[in-house]
Amino acid sequence: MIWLLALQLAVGPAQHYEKAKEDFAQQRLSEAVSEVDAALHESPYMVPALILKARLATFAHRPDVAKSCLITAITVDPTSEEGQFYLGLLYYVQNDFKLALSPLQAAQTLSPKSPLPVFYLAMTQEALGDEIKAQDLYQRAEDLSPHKSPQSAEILVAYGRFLLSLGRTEDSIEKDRRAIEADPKSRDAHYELAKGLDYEGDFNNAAREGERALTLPDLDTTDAQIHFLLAKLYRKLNEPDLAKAHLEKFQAAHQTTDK
Amino acid sequence: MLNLRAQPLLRSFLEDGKPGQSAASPILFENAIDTSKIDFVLKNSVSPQRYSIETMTGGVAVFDYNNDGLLDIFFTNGAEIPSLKKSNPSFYNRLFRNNGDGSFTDVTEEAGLAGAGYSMGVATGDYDNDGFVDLYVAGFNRNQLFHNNGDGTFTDVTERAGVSGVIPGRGKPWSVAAGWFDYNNDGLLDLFVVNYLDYSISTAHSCQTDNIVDYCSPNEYRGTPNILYQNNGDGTFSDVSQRSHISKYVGKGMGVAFADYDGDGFTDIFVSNDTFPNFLLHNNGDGTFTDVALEAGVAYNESGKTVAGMGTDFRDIDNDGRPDIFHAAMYGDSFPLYRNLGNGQFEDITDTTGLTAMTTRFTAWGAGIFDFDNDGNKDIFAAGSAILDNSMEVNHKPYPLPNFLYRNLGNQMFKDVSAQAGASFFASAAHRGAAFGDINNDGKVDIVVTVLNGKPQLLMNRSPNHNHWIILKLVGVADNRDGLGTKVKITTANGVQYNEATTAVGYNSSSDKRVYFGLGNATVVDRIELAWPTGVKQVLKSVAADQILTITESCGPQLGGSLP
Repeated sequence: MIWLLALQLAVGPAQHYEKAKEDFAQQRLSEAVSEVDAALHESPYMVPALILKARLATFAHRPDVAKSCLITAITVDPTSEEGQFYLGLLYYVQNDFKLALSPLQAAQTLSPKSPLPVFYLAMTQEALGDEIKAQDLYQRAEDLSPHKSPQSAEILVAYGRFLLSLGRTEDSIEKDRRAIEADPKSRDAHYELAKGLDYEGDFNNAAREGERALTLPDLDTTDAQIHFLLAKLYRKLNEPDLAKAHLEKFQAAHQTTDK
Repeated sequence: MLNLRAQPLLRSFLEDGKPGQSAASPILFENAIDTSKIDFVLKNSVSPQRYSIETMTGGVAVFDYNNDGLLDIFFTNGAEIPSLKKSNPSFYNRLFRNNGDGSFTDVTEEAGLAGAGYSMGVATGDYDNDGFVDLYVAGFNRNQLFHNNGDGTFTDVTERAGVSGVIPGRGKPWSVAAGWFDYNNDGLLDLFVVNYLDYSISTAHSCQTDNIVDYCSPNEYRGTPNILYQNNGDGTFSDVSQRSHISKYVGKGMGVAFADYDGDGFTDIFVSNDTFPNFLLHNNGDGTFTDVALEAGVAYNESGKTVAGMGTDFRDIDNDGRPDIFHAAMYGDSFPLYRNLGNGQFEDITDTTGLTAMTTRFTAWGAGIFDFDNDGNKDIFAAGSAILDNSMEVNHKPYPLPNFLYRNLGNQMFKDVSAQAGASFFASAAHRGAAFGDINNDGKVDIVVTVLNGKPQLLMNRSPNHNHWIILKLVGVADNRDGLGTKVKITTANGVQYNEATTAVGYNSSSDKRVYFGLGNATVVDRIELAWPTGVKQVLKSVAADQILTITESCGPQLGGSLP
């Protein structure tokens, strides 16, 4: 009996949490859920465990559970940067942009040198239609992001897209070029640069960037999108065979949007 | 360290002007519905099951049914669900006669236009060339052709004319819209019917998001082919959908617009499809059509994705003589603008014109390209509203939205001027169809917008500018009486402009057949060149501005044709 009690004490909430974290990192999600539930069973207000449970719930398409966990987490510890950030992020991906502002701002205040809260604030302000605030925040996110890293490349690509959506093609191209410097293997950056160059009439270089994008790992920009762009570019370059080939590849892979 | 991937899903900004642009006189509208005596509420019969048809109705037409020179207004209406019958007068379609003093009189019952079934769209055109504009009403379970008898009454001639919208072997598909045009240049208006989903109330399933019942995505259902009826000239039509290859192209149509995009003398068709590639049906000139949307670059947006296409317009937006294409869409899509490059190709210029930022976070239905401030550059209007009436619960986005107005700055850039367009542009509502025309003949284009389960909006253009204008009322002789399909080029001291006569504009709706031009500070139109569909060319010179000019084919102007 004493032996059993000792064992239970030995595997306390912290150990369950550490095990859950490890399982999560290894993508063993059901094991991670069991462990994090065990941690929270013993310590219901353990903030890191609440946040991890929220992340697992997001994977399981249970935003209601994630939201509940994160609200509990930041109620217990309003200084949890992670808790505030993930709650803001959750609201952002659910299109609750107004609700996303407060936790993202709190995360930014708690971690003023972290680029991600600022970056998501930029995208949130963009979604809310405040162009001036969004641009300021994008710039700050760019300034904060570590140079020549995939993260800074992603920020620059989003910044460039934002500028392109305003019709500021040259500024957008400059961001895309810097994104490629930061992460030469960013497919998104090469694709966005190809689009910008297309708008500028530089079809040869646009096609070169598009072809380069096709060779890079598919994360956000799909093959279909690139084939579609290349078909257009090769038509402009009077290369009908190449245009046709890319159009056929596009048709084979094309996507539809959900309503 | 937090390490999440960026998800820049939504890009949306209200355009706030560009450096170096001078302040222009505002485009201003006033909603005059309360003083208009138009007593109409669009009823869609919301059901607990959320049948998809409920969110789709709301057609409106502006046309002069009694030839008194004043535009009258016709609204389509829903029906009881599930009977799909207009079981009481609150479901009637309604015709309001323009009294000329800002007020309207409901003449529905004396006109015989109450209609039947769950109505959606309306198309106006004088199909028998008798000088009185006729009406085609497209609906979920009934399509009806109403012949204008010329005495204030209409007769339902659907069966005799053979335009019931039934597809042999398939039954009656869900028709959303229709449009009149002369596809074979024989001087008779033909009829194109836009069909949507293969959908039945009796077999429709329920859709849910997070346990909330909502309207199903169109991806849940197959599409249906559109229909082309050829006018036989004797009051009857022949279904030529197969022969013309129209029925080959099965989509999920929402809007239709016509223009001769390649200048070959035959009117082409653009159909905006919902979450499905758009159609650009090239008129081959031999009675057949070929969908060239993919090759032309208008099937998908610039990312190669389908969008939820809504109302559309097909007009030259940059005065280069080539009709361009705009259509409204759903939030996250942005509202695409395709520029006609003139070689059979279009370029998606939504980003470069600034429209992406202005439109991405919104959904809109009705749409139109008109020069609302008469400065010589056509602007864009879009009637905003989300799709789901429980959008806030399901998508965390508001259902009612305001209308949107994008001013054409003349340099291939647009500016969102909605916030300066008057109080009516702050009013969020479940807007649907929009029809365009000068209701009070003051030279400024007005807009009528329908609202689901609400009163329509009568947006009278009160823009305080002193720009000049000209409105052309075409009368075909060898051509169709309405002159639909006629290409018009005008030359003034400020340059050249182009437009094309059409009533097929936007979503569910039909606009004034007259052709509108804003002239800026030009008081004279040096030259008006008309190319009628049958090939007749006509030129008028030195025409005074600020008039509604009737031009009869090959006979010159009937009044005001020269400088006073």
